[in-house]
Amino acid sequence: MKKNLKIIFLVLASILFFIIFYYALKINKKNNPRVMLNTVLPTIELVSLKDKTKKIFLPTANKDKYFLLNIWSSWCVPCRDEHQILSKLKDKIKIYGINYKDEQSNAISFLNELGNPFYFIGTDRNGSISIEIGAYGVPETYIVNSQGIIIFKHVGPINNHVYSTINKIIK
Amino acid sequence: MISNLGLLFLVAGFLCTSFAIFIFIKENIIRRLIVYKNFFLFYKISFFLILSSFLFLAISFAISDFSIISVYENSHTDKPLFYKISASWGNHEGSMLLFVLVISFYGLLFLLSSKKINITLKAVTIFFQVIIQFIFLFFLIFTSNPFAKIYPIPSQGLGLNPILQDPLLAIHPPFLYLGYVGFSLVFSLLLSALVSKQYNHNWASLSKKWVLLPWTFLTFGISLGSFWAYYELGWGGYWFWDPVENASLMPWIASTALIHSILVMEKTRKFFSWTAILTILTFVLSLFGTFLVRSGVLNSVHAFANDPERGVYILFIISLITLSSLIIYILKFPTKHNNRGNFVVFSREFSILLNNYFLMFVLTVVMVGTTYPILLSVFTSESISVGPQYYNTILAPFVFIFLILMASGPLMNWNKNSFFSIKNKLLTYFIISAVLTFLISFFVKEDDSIFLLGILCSSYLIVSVFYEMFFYNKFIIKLNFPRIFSHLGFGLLIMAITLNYFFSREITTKISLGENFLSQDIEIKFLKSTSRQGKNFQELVGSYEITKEKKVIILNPSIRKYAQPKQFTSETSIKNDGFSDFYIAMDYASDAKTGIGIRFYYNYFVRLIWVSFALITIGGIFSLSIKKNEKKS
Repeated sequence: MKKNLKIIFLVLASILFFIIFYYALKINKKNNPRVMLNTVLPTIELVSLKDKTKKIFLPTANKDKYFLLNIWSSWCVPCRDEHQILSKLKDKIKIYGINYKDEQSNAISFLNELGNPFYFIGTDRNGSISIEIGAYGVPETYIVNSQGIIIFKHVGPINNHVYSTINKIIK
Repeated sequence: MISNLGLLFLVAGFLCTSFAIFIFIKENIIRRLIVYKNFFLFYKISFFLILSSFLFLAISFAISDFSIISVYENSHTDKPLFYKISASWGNHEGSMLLFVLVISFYGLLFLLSSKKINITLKAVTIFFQVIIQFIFLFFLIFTSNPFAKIYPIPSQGLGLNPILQDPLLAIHPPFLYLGYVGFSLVFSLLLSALVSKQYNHNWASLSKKWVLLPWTFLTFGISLGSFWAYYELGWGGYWFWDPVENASLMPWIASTALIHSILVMEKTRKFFSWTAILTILTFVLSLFGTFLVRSGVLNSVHAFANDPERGVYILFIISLITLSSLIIYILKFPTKHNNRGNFVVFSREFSILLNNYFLMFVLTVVMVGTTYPILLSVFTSESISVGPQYYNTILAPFVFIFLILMASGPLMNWNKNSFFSIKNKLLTYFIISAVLTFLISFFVKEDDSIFLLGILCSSYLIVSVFYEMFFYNKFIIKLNFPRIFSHLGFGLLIMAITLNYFFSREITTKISLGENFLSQDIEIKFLKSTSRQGKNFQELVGSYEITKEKKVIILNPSIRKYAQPKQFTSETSIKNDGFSDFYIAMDYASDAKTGIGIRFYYNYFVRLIWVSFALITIGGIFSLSIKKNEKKS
């Protein structure tokens, strides 16, 4: 009888342990890619990749319903794969690029080789802007609406499936 | 091709492990046979399959086979071969494969080395070990396959974090794993003894070395990590109470308590249930450490893997193993050992009991400090981190008492109040150490009461060890080298920490080329800066002249800019003056003319800390070699 009680107590304690740390895993912000979803994009200042005197602030106040934010780098291999899909999206939505931890010359030759789908490219040499908006790697893609709220986020290269999802959102 | 072979061996290893379990259940549990030949055979095969799989992974890294995701993500063709190979365990998937390999290795080692022990005990131990192996292999194959493919095959890899490109760090994880994964064997041995009703004092003699072996590896692994953080990370210190460091410290504390309690169990036939609980605790804390490090639940500077999905699996595994082992303990613990036993005050086992209380206290403090931020983030939205202040304040007073205990405990006899027979010795130690403390305090001109207490208590322990060494023929018992070395190491450690804490200096400033900076008695001058090209990095080397009390030292720290992945590292420059270090690190700045930030540390007696780590490890090694000699005779 005493043994049974002990065992029941242990089972309950284990379940409690599991639940607490399960939640700890779930809520850990650093690792949760959805953390910035449905929140306002923090204001970020982007300095143009090509011309250091040009600066813009995001989210911008303009008439567009949505804009797309893409974090990329010339050294990132998956970025190469998603580049053609970005090119397909180019005429449907304004694409802002954040060039993550990259050399300016490499980034420009990357664009010369594969084409430039971006409306504006800002540099993020030390990666701090990307961290600010909750990114944890390249590539990452966000869709922000006219109120500055992030309504869609994709971690990793966008493929045809993600492409059609984006199309549905911005229709 | 090779990657396919690696996966094939891994799956074969998994099947072989499953089959070993199947054979044991069919033959030995259902048919109640006591023949284990096939079971052992399959276990041995499973080890070699896992080993081959690991070797194939290492080869894939060596030849830079980028068709494998983890090679692509963690390696690069420009890297030196040594770091290519070490990258195979420098990532989550590879390190989990190493984890399974170590479990299997300990099982095999036990199987081959313990010829004399009861065959049932041996077989059941391997059975529990094979179950643990099965659980982790399952986890490995289904959530973290190290041979997962990428298509199209990239032409170049992303590279290994340059911070991890250090010879010490390359060998640090295998040693840590040989340490805390190794506790799986004594854990299996305990469950086996409980199930097969052989949990008695002979079990203690048998399992002692299976605690000491991983403990020695763990001590060495932790020392390497501490050493690496000091030299490579440029943090300037040796221990930071970082959650990842704590994750490896917790099983170390539990196993240190276990080493002592198992001794009491062997010699006096007490502490039966306490030893069992410590054994379970040690292994569970090892798993918990793996969970903390591997799941991404922590926000640590180490920040390794970060996949919450995997974390859930590891969490489930820990809960399962903890729960089932404790249930086995409750149901199978022999009731005849349940009596608490009468303790004689001032006997050897009494001092070990106090030692265990102390270690459990330290463990609780470390555990609270490590998990409190996590728990807080579950129940509130706050996020905090617990710093060294917390640990130092709570632990310091108890460490002093602990040192006195470590000095007096070994003088006492088992099962006998030895206070009157040793009180003269205790007094002698006190007088010698008080004189020493006075001399040291006079020499360094410091009379802070905490400082004096720290030096007094640590020299008390050191004196006791030397006294025993020089006058050992007067003792009835023969000289116990493992204890002497590890206790001496601990005494020196606390002394070094005290000296370091009170006399270290830290200067953070920004100096331009040609300028100098004066702070009290230390002068720093920025002489020149030069650029050079390394194999896979560019380097900016600075030259600084440090003047302290008429001593002049030139230090040359540097900033390295790696190409793959693009990252900067700060290479520290360290020169020693006796046991003390002059240490300088540059910040990641751009131009020497506008000034480069530097962090300068004068680390008093820091080298004594490494010496004491080494002594503790040597103690562990001694204990293992002595065991062998006893066997031969």
